Amino acid sequence: MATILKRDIPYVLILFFGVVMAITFFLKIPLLSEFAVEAQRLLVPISSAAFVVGGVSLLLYHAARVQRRTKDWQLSVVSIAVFFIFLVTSLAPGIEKIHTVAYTTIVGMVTEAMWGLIALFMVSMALRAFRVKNLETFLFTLSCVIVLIGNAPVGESAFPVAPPVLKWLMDIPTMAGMRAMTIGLGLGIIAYGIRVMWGYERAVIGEVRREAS
Amino acid sequence: MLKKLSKDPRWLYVLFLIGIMIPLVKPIGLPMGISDNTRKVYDALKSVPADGLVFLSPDFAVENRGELQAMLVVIFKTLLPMGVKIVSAGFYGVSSAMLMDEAMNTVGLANYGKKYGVDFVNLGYLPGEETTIAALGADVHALVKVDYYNKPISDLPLMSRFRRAGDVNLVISLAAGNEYPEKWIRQWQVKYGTKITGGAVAMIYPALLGYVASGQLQGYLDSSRGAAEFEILTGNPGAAVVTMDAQSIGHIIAILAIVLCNLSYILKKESRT
Repeated sequence: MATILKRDIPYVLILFFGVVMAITFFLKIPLLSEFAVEAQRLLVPISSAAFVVGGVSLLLYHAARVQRRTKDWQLSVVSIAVFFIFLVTSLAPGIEKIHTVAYTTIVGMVTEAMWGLIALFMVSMALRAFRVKNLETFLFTLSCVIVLIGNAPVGESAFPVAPPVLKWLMDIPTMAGMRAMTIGLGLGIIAYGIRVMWGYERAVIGEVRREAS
Repeated sequence: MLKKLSKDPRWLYVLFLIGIMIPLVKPIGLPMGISDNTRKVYDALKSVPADGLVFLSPDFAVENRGELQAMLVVIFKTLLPMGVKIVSAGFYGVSSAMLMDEAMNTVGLANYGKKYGVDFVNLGYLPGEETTIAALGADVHALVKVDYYNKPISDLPLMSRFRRAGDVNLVISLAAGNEYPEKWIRQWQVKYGTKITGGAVAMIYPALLGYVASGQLQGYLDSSRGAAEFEILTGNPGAAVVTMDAQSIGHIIAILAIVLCNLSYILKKESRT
């Protein structure tokens, strides 16, 4: 009975929804199309409910850390406090503005600062990593320099030949590589979808593959 | 000196920070060419008839504000005087709807004689990613009941003419990940033939060029550079144009770092031999 509930029913549902959604994407069958729209609409409240599960899971994790006084447990206290501050300010009527201001000025600034730091690391990396040792590293460094020159207005003014070369780099070799990746990825997704529908991928129903472990 | 710089790059960090800060405070105003892709985006926007409907999707979060917010603002500034109606919703995260709200306040609907609910509606954040995009295309009113400000969409006059994907003339997706334009292509362009354009962060821009070449995307703006080109093209110079000078200095310093790196490598190699 447990196997039916935990494995067989989820697989039957996956196969059913997978086949129906695939059919309705390519064919217009009124009854199936209506069903597909209803199923898609159902996913929005399910996705919203996932936020609740995520929030509860986060709270339980940090509460356990505080209770056990594990390393840096004080940070968990901060996490819990911030969680409730954002929860209350977003749900309580009339103070939504506080939530928006807090989000954009705290979360926004912190995440933007994190992204800004990448620029410094890239300069540092340019100083250490772009060493021309052979033909491959020469081509890699050359293409990097062309991209840097071609994308900046100063490079465009100083080296008018850079933008057309950059355009060629983007339109021919880069696009060829990206197309190969996109097509490969698409085929991989189709193969993965078929494996999921036929029950070869057990991770989707929470079963860890024994052979992997 | 090179050895010292290689071991302790903090001097380079200081040089880099000073270099990019100067043009931010006092812009140089270097001339800039307009790329074909930016022109395609411009043409796509201008092809929307007056009184047409555009779906504007800020598919990015606060961490991408530096690259995409200026783009969102200039697109908004371009669409409003055209008389085009705009509906917006974010699928990337909660902050995407906030950023749309921020852009609306920056531009100011009243400055263009427009009214919320009549000319523009912000539906807020819609969770569920690609499935929600598909469901939105099939039946908007079955999926969304209230807007970002908790107003019932049945009370907003603009929403009476937006019921399904077929009502939209153009989708503009400003994306932090290439999967977002791809989702729009799969669920709206392939299914309903809706035109799609937008802009992306520099990291994912090359991944979208194939879709531009195939005609599935009507051009795409390349990060701050694309936004700056679009600002110049539309005669709305703003934040993106200012950042271009800083980007120039940043790129010069990066090239100098590459030259120094190779000089140090050659000198080290020679001293060994």
